Amino acid sequence: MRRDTPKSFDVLFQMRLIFYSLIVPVAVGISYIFGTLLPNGLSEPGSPLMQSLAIIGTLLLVITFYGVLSKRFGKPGRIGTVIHIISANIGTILVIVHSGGTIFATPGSLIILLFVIMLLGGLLRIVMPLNFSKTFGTKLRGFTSLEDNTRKELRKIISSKEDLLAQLEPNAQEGLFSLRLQHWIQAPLLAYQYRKLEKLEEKIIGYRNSVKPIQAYCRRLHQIFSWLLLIGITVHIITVTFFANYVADGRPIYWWHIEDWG
Amino acid sequence: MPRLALMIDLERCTGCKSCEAACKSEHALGPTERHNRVVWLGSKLEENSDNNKALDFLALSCQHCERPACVRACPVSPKAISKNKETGVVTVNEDACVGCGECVTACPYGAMGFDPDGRHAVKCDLCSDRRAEGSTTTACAAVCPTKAITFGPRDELLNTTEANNREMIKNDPFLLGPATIYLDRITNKQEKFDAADRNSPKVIDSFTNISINDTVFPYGHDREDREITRIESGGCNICFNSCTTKFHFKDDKLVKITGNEEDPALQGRVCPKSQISIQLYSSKMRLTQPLKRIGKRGDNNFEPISWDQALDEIAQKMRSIKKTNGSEALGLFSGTRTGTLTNRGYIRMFSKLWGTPNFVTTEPFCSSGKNLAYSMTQGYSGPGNSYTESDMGSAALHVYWGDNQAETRPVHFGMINDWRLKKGSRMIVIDPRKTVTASKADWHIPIRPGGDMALALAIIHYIFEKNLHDEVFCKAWVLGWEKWKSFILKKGYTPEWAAKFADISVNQIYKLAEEIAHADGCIIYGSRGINQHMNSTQSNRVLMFLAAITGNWGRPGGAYFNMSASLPIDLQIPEDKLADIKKPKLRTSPVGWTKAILEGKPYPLRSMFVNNNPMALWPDQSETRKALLALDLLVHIDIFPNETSAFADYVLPAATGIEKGEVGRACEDRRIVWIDRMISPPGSAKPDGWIWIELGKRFGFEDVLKEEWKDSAKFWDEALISNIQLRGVTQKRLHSNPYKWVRFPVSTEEEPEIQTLYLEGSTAPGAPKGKRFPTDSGKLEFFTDELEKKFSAYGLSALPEFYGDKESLINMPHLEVIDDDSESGILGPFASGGLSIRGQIVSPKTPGSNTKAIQEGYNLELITGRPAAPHFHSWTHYSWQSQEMWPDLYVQIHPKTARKLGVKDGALVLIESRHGSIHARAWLYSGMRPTSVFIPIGWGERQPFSKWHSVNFLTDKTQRDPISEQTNLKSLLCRVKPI
Repeated sequence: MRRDTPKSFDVLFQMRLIFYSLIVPVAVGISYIFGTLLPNGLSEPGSPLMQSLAIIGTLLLVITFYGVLSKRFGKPGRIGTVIHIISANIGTILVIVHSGGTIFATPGSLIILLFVIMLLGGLLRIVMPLNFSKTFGTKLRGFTSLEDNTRKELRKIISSKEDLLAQLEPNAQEGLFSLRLQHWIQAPLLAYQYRKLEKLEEKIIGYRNSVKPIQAYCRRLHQIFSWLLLIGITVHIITVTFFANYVADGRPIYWWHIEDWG
Repeated sequence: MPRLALMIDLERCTGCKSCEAACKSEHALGPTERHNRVVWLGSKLEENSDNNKALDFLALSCQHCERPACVRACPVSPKAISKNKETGVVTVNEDACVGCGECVTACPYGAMGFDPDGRHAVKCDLCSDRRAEGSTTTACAAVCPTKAITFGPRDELLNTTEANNREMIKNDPFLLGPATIYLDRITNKQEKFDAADRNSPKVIDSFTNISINDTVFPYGHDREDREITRIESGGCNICFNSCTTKFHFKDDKLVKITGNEEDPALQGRVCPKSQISIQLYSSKMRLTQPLKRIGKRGDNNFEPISWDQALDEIAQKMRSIKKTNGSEALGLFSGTRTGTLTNRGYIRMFSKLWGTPNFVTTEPFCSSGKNLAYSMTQGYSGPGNSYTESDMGSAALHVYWGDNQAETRPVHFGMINDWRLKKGSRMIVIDPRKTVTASKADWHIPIRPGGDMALALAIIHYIFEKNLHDEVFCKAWVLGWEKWKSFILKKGYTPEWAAKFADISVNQIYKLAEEIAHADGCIIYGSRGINQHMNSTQSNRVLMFLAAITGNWGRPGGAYFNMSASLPIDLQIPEDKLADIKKPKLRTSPVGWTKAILEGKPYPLRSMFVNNNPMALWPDQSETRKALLALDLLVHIDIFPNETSAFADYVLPAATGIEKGEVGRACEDRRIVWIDRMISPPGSAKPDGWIWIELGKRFGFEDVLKEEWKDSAKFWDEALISNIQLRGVTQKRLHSNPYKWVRFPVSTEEEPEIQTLYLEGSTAPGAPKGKRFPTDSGKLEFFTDELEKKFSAYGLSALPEFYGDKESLINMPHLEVIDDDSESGILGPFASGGLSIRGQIVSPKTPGSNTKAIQEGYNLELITGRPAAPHFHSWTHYSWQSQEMWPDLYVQIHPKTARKLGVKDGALVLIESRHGSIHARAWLYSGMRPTSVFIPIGWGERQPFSKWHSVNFLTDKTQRDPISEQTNLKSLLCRVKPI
């Protein structure tokens, strides 16, 4: 069996780029068509249909975090990645349809954030693999000399890491160990201290500075924006569910809600 | 199990990338997917001078660290990257990897690979699969031509390092504990290796236009698909060295090609080309059926036709041309791709039966000057030494003079360098640029292009003046040496005289002369750098004279060694079957045929069969293309479509190597390697022999070009080895050992091979008893009346007088060609039965065209030559992997010169000569002479990956050595402009 699909990488690359770049316009288009085809009332973001789509979409976007978390809990990583991509794509479309294509209202900032996350995700999946492979042999910092003082500092960091690790996970080997979610939950202070030392070591080695910024930070930004999106969606849900009056701003409250505070 | 590691010796590594090829082959890796890579390192570009940091190579793969940064960076749990506690080997679980690339970012060695199509990390695991199958070494170490890579328990490797008193490179600044051991240079002890001082040229590994779609089986396939069920031994078919190889099959499918570790000479060494040649056999770009042109010439429109239709129509057109213009109106041109059996057998036979003298190979571009010089001096056109430790390995001094062996024949350089390092011999390289060979030398002398003959004459002058010559040898074995001595001294070819032509200081010339004269065994290696000049024959003779007067001839470890591809094949054709040839050969060089095509002078040439790619290969492409377009019939036989096929009337698909059965050309070591037919050619492609036999049938030649000789093994035994030197090289003897080679001459199947020819007390093979050398006199011949008579036909003397090339930055005596190709010229006294041009030596005081050219801005000396090891001529440009390693045509230019011109590293530039212009990418290289540039051969504008015009748009067909018709390809004036 051939390990990788023997299709043209270039063609696939183009197709994927087109696919990704079309998700938001398509979703906006769908929401527009929905808006014109559906009877008045149903096409509004707060209508039962749109609210249902929003709920499903949000759930799917939450599921995308499964991909992030599963690999930290010993689940097969690649299945998680597939689920991550599929749920992100469908979830995005549903959320945009729910929004009615509105990006200039306050919740529209979430749509913009979603768009940026999608772009970064696409970049990670489509452009970065080739960048990763081209990195081979381009950084030779390991064959350069380092000042004695810096090496001393490095030795000290490693020693401190070993001391912390004795408390954090006594059976682990410093040279092979990295923090997992369980460490952050069980011993957050130790984990934080350990992470600080890791950062110091990474700074000396070069780590993210050894590659182009886009390659170094693309994944990080994707993660940060995703957590921001999650917070934003949570705030949005709380607002429309409990502060309906505030959201309506004098208009009729036509969507399902629990309280009309505000 | 001990901790395992690789040990890499920078002193030995020549950057050939054979280890990269082996790794991709072993693990079926696709484009950009790497477990290893050889990084080429130059000096920082702000450092202008030629220095010790101009060129080094770092064979890079996972360092298998004790504290691997990649493992710690992996966010997957359990981690997708793990480290074996015992062996220390770090491996990646590709199924668990999520493709986040954190390991790639984390590794400070840049040694983490990535599969861009499967989107997961890949990495070196020291060939765990291979080791699990019983192998004791890694794929990269097994093939390394220079033995630069060793695999084993780390402690043992460290012990070896200590025992050999070698220093290691510091490769652990970040306390990661890498296992890989790098041995620092020996020849550059004063400066420790530090990558911070280095720069990687932008023209290498730039991954141009290669996709996974360009790969076919076995790349990207699982190991079980590639499980080896049988192995056959044979040889590589790409270049003229035919390194011994093993062909690994899964049933009938070729899975990989490796070196043959059972070969006592090469011991498994093999260059990247041999391994990558698997892509020739499975390439989707191969020509698979006969094609007939439809539409205009050059439009590249063809329709597929049957073999019968193709050969019938071609035969009909040939008859028609013969009727109008005579049988001599047919030109036949073949080259390396065509193979020895065809070059020396099938085509030659056809030409004699048909009746044309106009059959030539690529010799006038590569080696005809050298061949003639050997024949004149020694009586046979090739050196008599062999690649054995007790012969060439025993030399005290190796002088590479215009020979970049490390890049052009990396396996043989690996052998020499290995013996040299063991024995502690010296290596000197005389070359205008710091080639890879020069980068390994104890002393590099950056000579002016075209100054070689002046330098050699000056060394000889010094040796004679100081009485450093081997008088006993000269008196006993050299005819005319005293005449030569008087000539040299009278002419005043002193080091002081030569210094300005060679651009080398007088003291350096003294030192060089002393070293050569005093060495107990000196081998002077000459190659294209000596051959490809207008003084080709005479330069080669002078270097032969130098070797001879120092006693370095007919002894182990002493020689003038200019490799020879010639095999002494005598074709046996019954006299009554030979066609009557009424006209002499047009010219020895096919570039001299263009006037015959365009103007019908001296007589018309109307049809041609070409078996390789003249539209990239021939000097002066503008004229070449005009000429080939004017032919009545152009038939192109090849394995890939190229520039020439686009202009052909018929394109015939050929077979190669293991698809047809072939003999390896013994150019370097008199070893004849047999390659069995192992697989079928693709589609309806046919072996060249089959094509010539079938075409011959159309003219009734079948009683000579016999049907049964389609079997190449039978053809070899029955038609080609009647010469006393080859009589013992039978199929039976070739198949009697596991490496299928025999070193000729052997006159019977039982006769033992001779390590060193022409030893004192021996008789030359085929010569009358007592004649040590195969000349008429039995001695080396510097001067004879017969030679003098022949040379006088050209207006020259038999004793080589100094002259250089026509185009040079200084006024030096140079040769000006008298005869135009449309004139009859003279009947060449050396080139059998051919018309030849004449030349005259022009005094340096005569203002030449150079002054005008320099005023017009053509102020750089252009040198052309072979590129790095993964490429050979044009056919490796159809392999995605060679292309991945060296994608773009480049021009090497000194940083100081580049800065003046405003040219940046990797930038696109225009190169213009007075004969044409091309584009290339700039490689700013401090190993270049500031007044010279280098552009490699082999690229073409219709190649599948990177399309560049051939460097031969810049060369000139009229600048030929009259004696051998060798074209000057090493000294032309040009200018470089940024774009």
